[in-house]
Amino acid sequence: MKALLAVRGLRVSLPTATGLVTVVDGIDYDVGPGEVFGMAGESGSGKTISVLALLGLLPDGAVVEGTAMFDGRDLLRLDRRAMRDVRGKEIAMVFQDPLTSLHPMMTIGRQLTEHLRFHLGLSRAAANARAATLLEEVRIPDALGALGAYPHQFSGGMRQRIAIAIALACGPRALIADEPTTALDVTVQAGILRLLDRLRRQSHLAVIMITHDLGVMSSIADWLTVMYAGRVVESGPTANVLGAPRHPYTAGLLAALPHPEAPEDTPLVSIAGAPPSPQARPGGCPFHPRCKYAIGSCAMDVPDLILVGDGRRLACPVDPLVVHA
Amino acid sequence: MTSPASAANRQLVPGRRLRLPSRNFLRFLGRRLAALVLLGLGITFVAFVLTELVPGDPAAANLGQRAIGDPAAVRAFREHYGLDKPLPIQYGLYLQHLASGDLGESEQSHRPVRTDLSEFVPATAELALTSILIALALGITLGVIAAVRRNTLTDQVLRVISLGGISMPTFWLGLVALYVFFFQLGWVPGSSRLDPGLLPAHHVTGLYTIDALLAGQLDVFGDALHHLILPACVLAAYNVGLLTRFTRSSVLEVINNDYVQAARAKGLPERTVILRHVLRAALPPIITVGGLAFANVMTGTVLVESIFSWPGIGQYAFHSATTLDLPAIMGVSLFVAVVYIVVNFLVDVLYGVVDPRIRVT
Amino acid sequence: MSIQRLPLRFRIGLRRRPGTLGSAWKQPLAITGLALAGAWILIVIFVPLIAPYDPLAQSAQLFLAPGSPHVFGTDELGRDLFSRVLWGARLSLPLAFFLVAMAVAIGGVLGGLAGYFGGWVDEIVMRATDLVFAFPTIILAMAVTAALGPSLRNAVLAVVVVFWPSYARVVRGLVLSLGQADYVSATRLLGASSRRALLVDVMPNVAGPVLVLATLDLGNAVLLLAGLSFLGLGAQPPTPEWGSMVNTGTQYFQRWWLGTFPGFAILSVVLAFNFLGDSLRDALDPRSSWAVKEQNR
Repeated sequence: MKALLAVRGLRVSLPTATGLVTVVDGIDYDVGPGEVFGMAGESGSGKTISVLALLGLLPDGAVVEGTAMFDGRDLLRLDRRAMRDVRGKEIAMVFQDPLTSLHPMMTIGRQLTEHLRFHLGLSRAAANARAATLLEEVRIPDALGALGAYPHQFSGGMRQRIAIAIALACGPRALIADEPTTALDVTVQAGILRLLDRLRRQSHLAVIMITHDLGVMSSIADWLTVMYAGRVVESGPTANVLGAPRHPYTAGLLAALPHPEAPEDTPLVSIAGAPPSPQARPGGCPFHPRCKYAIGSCAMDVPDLILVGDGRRLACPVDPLVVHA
Repeated sequence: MTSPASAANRQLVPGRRLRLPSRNFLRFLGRRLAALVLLGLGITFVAFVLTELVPGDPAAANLGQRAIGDPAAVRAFREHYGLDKPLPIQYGLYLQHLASGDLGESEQSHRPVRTDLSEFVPATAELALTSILIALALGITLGVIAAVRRNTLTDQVLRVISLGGISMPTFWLGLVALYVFFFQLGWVPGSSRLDPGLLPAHHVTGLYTIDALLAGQLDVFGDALHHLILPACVLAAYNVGLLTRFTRSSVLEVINNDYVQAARAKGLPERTVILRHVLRAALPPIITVGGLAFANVMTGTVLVESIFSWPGIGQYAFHSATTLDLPAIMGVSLFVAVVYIVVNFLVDVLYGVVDPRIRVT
Repeated sequence: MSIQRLPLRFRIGLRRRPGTLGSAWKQPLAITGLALAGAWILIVIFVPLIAPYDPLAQSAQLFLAPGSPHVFGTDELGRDLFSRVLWGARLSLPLAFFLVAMAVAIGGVLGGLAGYFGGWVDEIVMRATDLVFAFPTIILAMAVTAALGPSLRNAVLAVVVVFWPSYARVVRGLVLSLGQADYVSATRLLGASSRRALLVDVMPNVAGPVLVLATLDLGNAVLLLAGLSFLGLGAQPPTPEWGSMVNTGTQYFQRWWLGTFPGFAILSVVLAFNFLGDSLRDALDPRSSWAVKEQNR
């Protein structure tokens, strides 16, 4: 299946008072149409920055290297106007907190139609019709009435549905969802995930789902990429990666999840130490200070991401967890 | 999903019922209205106390020469104001007079203060409105620029300019502006509202510019505008400084919000993002400054109208102050204060109109 | 140039510890303000030595244009304008300091009492501040001065009347919020007396905003006093007050120096205090507008 989006060697450096700091340190991945591509990792691992780079939403002074081929064009080399045509129309984004990602003083209808009219040139009536249809698709009751309402009149879950409707308004081929369920109740989460799943099946929408919640990953992502300190440490089909993690970090993340059936006094496992700040990343494999399987060369050689079978890629030469048949 | 036919059959008016004012907002407005009335009473009390503080015999001061030769007039005066009665009754009489619109009689013009005021209000209204419009246009624009170009040289320059605006003595600015632009450069006329040869258009609002437009007399309109421009700009200076600062901080509060980034992610051009998304969200706090801006303009008119020979209530207040015409001073103060609290109330209403979170449940 | 800021919670800016006074003094604005204010204070102190002429002496020709020996020219009674402007500082600045000190004292005490006791004390103080705020400043000051009789003393009184409510509101608000602050309760729980809690915990937090307001008000006080004198309600002739000098300038319009130099003096003094106050606000409130922010996720 030909990839819709192919990212190679993406490296993002951001300006700080002390100079440029590399936040994303060379990542590769492919996303196919209709596929849910999951990016997991802790805060500061660079997940959000890497997708912002795709949309050209980085602050002034950011330096981006690598390529991101979408539809035969390199997203990272597009000029401003071309980028604007891609944003919202070909690739759309849903943000984490629907309370703050919807404009509090504009009606839902306006927020749905303004880019519709801008990108597709629809008339006001046509745009409103499409907006109402969109709201129905994301299961907002009384779609027509909702068009004239304001975000604060809706619950969190409904607002996120509206945000999804806004993102999908122009019929994009890829949707980036940055922690779309993190700010929502667990019960509401499931509804949003089901919605995303249905939508992507309907229109072959590629979804890049960023979340630190492995449970969410396992339920919706076809493909999982685990990031640490700006690099990909492991990636592959979700079931494989989560079922049998091979990178010590992935294993650590999974082990840290409390087991629902473990006895009460089982201590919570955590990975010792903390992720390094972008300014202070260790040499060699960035995870090595916290890794119990680290050997001498881990502090010096940056591991490459290589194909290791069962569709998986791994950035760990030690590969301590592989199960040999 | 739905067929195109059914889609076309639907009424496509976004729901109106969800946009009616909430009861909370109406209750809030009701409270503000009550506060307005109470405040109105309070300021009458202040004005009354101040008039009582004046040393000397009000009858003698007010009637001047007549007081000596005409005891009947003195008696009538004392009767009217209840000067022989206890203070609370005097206050009651005072309120009664106010309710019927009687603000006393000017010692200078010997006309009712109310008549004087009604003659001079339109001129000041025209000046004040123009000045506020200029200040809003310039101040908000500069504030947005300063915010968008934050921490660049432009921003620092604008900071100094805005500080300069609020540091300037308005009366001095008026003097210097008049000297430079009228006396030296001759770009604008130096006084009054129209050239001596022109007559104002038919009186509809009392604002020469509007009336001229309504009557289609473009030459009068042009001349009135020509006379208006310098004093309006002088009056606007302080408010431009104030609004630039306020707009800047308000925009900065808003510009990092997620919904701004979300708007960019929709592919909207940056100008639309700034003007439609950022500015709208930044507007409510700026509106609250509106009342303050009005007070500043009022302050300015008192100081500046006489310099430009502008026949408004500011000049009236100035002359009353210099001649110590107490009824006139008190009358003007009361009038301006009442207008001010009404303006503040309107600002509250406007705030709710602009921010739907307050207005709608 | 558009700013495309990092979204959500990750913002990068210059590194600066918020709330440190030290960094504020390096700002050019603060330095300018300090220098200007310092210069004027020196003038106030040393004016008998600096001023070339007696400000009241009508010794020279009338209406001399600026030149030498009269640097600013002479006024309508032949007095040296330069000396009058310098002596005007000796009038305006000490009065402004006195005025603001009074307003801070009265407003601070009333506001503190209102916040501490609440109840009807609070009501009365709040209604009083409402009443003062209902008038545009100069209107009320004008009315008060006119009622009491035009003199510099009454003008000062009027300005105090107009300025105290801001401090009452600020102090009241701070007392209210701090009274509930956890660290105050904690201190008291640990046995410290309430006076100690007041001094060590509450005062520094109150002092900051009050100091900013007071610095800015110094400029406003000079402006308002000058305005009242301009209206003939403040300083009476022959006192060399800047505002009344500008008034004379409007009467003798072609002798531009009569009004320009005193007004310039007012502007520079007010600018100095506004620069200072603005820089102070930046230093004390890390979240203020012209400060550079840094936030990390």
